[in-house]
Amino acid sequence: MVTKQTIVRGGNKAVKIVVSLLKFIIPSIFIMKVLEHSGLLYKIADFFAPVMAFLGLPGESALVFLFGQVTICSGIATMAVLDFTAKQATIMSTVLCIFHVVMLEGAVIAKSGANALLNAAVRFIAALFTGLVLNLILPGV
Amino acid sequence: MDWSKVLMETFSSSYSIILKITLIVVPLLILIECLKDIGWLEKIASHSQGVTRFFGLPGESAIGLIVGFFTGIVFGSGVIMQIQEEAKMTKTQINTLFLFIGICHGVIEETVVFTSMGANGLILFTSRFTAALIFTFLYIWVQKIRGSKGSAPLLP
Repeated sequence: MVTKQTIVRGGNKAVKIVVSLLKFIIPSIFIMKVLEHSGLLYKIADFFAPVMAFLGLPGESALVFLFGQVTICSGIATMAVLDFTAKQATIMSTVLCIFHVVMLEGAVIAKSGANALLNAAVRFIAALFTGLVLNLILPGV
Repeated sequence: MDWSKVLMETFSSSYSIILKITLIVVPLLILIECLKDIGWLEKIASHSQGVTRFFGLPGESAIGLIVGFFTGIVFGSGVIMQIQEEAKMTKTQINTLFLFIGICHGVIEETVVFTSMGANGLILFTSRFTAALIFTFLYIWVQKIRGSKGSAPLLP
């Protein structure tokens, strides 16, 4: 039976959850923004550039995945600036979708009781693995 | 480094994300509370048992799985935190849940957005879904082996 109390109860629980998420979301975004504006993100991208070749992607796409950690829209915006083929677009998108905003989502996951580090590590491996497989089996360049 | 820019962007990003979360999570959780009170939550849970069994998950997690699958991790986790009241899950189970959702979530929104960027939406979706299945089952399998050996698991 749905009563007014049902709605109030649900609303209260929701607000509690949103507030607790806030405590993780804001710091996560802040840290990523610092990385972005300090130029460290670019340095990290340079480090990962060689790995991109395995995925069949241009070296600059490391930036896409790193900006994809700030917000996925940052990653998409970075994609918009680069040139790539259709196959590369598919690979880039898949890898980005699997491995994005890991820090914020990791914080939320930890709050829910799961192991955030495990999650991040597996997602990282899964992203690389999937990108590699796609690079191998997709036709074209 | 321009700290004022950092702070402003942090604020604007946080604001938009939190607004989005609030607008989605509040109605969603109210809906789930309603489902609970009507008794539908139990029904959905028992019907979903057939599928969630493969992941070693309780039927109640189906709703969290579905929400996370179609929307995003953050919304899914809000639901899952709620569900934890109904059905306590073990660490392995929660890890399993978030591994799957982590690899494959937001399928509708992200597939649409990236298709507009030039990616092949079908391949995108299929790859994520397959990868999620593979790595989730790998995890479950590893945990089973660990468990049967009787040793204390490093990764609970």
